[in-house]
Amino acid sequence: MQQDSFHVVGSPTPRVDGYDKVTGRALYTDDMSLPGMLYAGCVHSRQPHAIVEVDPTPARSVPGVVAVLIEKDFPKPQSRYDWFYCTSHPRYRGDVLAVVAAETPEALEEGIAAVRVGYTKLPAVFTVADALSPGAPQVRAEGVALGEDGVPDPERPGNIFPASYKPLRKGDLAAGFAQADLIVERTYDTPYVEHAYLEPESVLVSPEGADGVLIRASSQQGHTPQDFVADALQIPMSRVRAVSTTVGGSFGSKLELVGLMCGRAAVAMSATGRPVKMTYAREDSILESTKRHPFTTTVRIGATADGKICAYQASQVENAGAYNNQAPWMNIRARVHSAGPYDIANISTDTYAVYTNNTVPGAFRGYSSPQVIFANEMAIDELADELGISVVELKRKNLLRRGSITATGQQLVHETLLVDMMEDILRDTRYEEKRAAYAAEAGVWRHGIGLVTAYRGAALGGEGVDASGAMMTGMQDGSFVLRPSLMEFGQGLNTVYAQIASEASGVALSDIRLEPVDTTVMADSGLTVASRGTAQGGQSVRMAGEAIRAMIEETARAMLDAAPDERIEVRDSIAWIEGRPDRSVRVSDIWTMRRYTGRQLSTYQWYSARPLVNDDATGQGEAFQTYAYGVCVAEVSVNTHSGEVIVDEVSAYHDVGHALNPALIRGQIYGGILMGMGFGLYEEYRLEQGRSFDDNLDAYLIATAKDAPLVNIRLYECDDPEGAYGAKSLAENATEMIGAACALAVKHAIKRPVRKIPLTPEYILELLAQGEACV
Amino acid sequence: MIEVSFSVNGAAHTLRVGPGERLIDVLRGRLGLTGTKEGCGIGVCGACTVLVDGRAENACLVPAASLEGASVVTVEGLSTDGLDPLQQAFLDHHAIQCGFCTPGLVMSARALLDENPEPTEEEIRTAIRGNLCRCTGYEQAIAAIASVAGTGARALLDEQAGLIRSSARLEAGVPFARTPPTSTPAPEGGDAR
Repeated sequence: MQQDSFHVVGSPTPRVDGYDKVTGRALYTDDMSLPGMLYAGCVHSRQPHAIVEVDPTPARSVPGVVAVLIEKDFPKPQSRYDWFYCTSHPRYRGDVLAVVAAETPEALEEGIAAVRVGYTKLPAVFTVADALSPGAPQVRAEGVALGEDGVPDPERPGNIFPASYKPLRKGDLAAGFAQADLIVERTYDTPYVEHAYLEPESVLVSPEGADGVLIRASSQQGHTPQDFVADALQIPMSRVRAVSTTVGGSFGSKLELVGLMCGRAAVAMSATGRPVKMTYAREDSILESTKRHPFTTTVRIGATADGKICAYQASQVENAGAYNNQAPWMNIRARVHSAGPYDIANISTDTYAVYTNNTVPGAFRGYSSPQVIFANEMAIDELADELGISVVELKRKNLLRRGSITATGQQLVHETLLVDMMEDILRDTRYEEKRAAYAAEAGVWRHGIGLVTAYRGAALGGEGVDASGAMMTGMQDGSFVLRPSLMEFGQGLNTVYAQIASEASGVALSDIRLEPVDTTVMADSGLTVASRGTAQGGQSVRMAGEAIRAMIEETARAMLDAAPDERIEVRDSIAWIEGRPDRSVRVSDIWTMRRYTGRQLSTYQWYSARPLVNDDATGQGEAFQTYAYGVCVAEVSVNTHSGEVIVDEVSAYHDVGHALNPALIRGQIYGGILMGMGFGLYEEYRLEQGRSFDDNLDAYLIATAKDAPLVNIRLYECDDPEGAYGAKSLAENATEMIGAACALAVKHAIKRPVRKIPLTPEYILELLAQGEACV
Repeated sequence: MIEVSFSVNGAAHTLRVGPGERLIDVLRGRLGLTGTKEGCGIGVCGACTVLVDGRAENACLVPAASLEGASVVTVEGLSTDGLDPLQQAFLDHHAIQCGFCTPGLVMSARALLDENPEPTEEEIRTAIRGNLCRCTGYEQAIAAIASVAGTGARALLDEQAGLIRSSARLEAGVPFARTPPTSTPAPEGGDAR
């Protein structure tokens, strides 16, 4: 492999923000304070659907309380992203009815408790089934009902979120089923899942200059706070400046809620003329933050007796909660991947979200793929059971290969490693040998092994426009500032960006300093989502680095009197004539020369990914520029008396295109595995009549260091031209397969079909009691 | 309100504290030591872990009024004279992502190594089981702690293992062309979500 041509990317470079984080010096939003600052908090609804009368008077008389704001105090109570900053018509427990600002945290707590709320209850609906039933209360005026054909009908009022409907139509479904020797139909359910980043949300909004606003916030995106504050105050965005700060994890959730909190704090700032900080306690964070969408998926598959899948039909229905900003985008991905990584000629799937008076789901690492992969892989496994052939054989017959046509009609033109990776993991884990041996077990503890194969559209693809900007500025001493426009929130993006900029420019890594995203400097480049930061966001950083290299070469050529046919090399902040290290000049001297000869010292570059054309009515088209492939094997022990599951070992093999920083990738995978294990086995945000008692991390449990299985990671590199230096996506890939792999392993161990996750001990005992055995 | 005298990172403090005031409030609010983080407020996440008389404690559960005579060490107190070897190991072994749990994890590890300088991997896992981390999966943190202790951990072995496999085409010597495609302007409309 020709790694020699790279000097900085491909190395396990230590994190650029590591020193500040390990010493405690890194400032997260709640670590910042300003003179005269007020503490703000929210009064949340205690009813899932009601009209309220809020009396702020008693709270206003609490000593230290400076402002109590209700709906009428907001210039625009509803945000332009559907949710309300403040409302007197709560549609779920979590809607905000009043905002309190006080001199101290203690006065704030007293003030919140003193706000009086009178509720007039309204009919509410919580489950997808109830929301779709005739006569159900309509949660949102824009909701529609299903037509006779099973497709949402814009003329009928109901609870389907119309913009979220994404159909996929390929081939001739009826003809496909006609070829089938066997048809299997199953329904699968997945839960609400809490992101549980360690840092609860925090925002700090302050007056800047005569009429400006400055925001620091724990936001997944640099520009989101600016957007929401300008909207909440109804002022031009040019008067609102957001400067990003250290963010303690996000996984997709620190978008809308953090934006709403910024808007609320800004209205409080506007009312009082003072800086306002709003930091949520964990209970408020879990109450109001988004969750992973629960999916109910019904799959119908037809196959020939020898295991060729000839027809695939599915409905993927999500609980959208009371507001929803994400399902129309998420469902593009859910549609593209609805039939899994299989080469199937005839496909028809329908994906849509349904409004209820439940907590609002949003983006969560994977963006539908953990749910889709669970349903798809369980159904494929049950199909193999019914056919009486091994699932490995079934996969060998149907998996996508290079040249295959995907569900959206896209031909896979780049390297497609999926089958090779599967054969590797089968051999390395001794999958088939263990599968046979475990099947004969009869003790209290049973063992199981589960295999998942997956592919993932890399970066945003057809979900949106994948574009970004980056700026790189040199100083006369040869030090450089790099300003990306996508966000570091823990994943390591700034470290990779420093590597890319160094590789592209020839400036030494140690001479490049990363600056926060500042909305007065950098243009909005869309969200840091879809695992696009490195692969696509890295492209504008690469281009900025290459522009700096061109400037270095231009001046070096003059300073070194290079002949026209002599090439300039730049590395580690030194430029020299190729093959003549004795004829060299430092970048610091080059930049001093440029500074005093009026040459350009800075560059701003914009990258927009190759455009893709897709038909929204059929989902047919080029869905993503390229795909990343993954295979995963989970091995579990199940106690058939207690229902306890221990995950013994997980093997996760990922096609990363080019591993720009293998150590960061390993960290993403270790973390993604624990998050995915939780999804499969024990994490669920339980709602009853729109209310949850899982209000802190003592009730909502996430994996500890004692729960971690033995992990085997392999990264595959290939030759793919679409991403920065050949990189594909990884962050979401790292978590999307594990839940399904654990579920398959448990299914194998207990010899019972598994149609729902999480596989809690109670649910496992229930399954064992049913006694419905399978292969 | 009562008056208590105690030390933080070697500096003596005498403060009047209220009945509801917690050690974390004193550290973050009064002393400006914001390296200690609050993640749950109920003593289950470990982000506020500090050393109180050498023991790892959740600062959100320690009443400030109980601190008379106590010696408190926070993450800021570890690096007064260069980085603590544990901090350096966390950097070297890539044990940090969002970093919010990092100070607490480092303090739990410090308490462990002060009491048991050569812990097994299982003892390390037990010592940090009260420190929740949603990003890292703990493996690289465990490798970091084991490297300071000079003991073994499976993640340390992983660092030497053959992590990267190339596709068959690359191994066959086909040129590794990572030429980016030509950038073209985006069509109008359509917001990246």
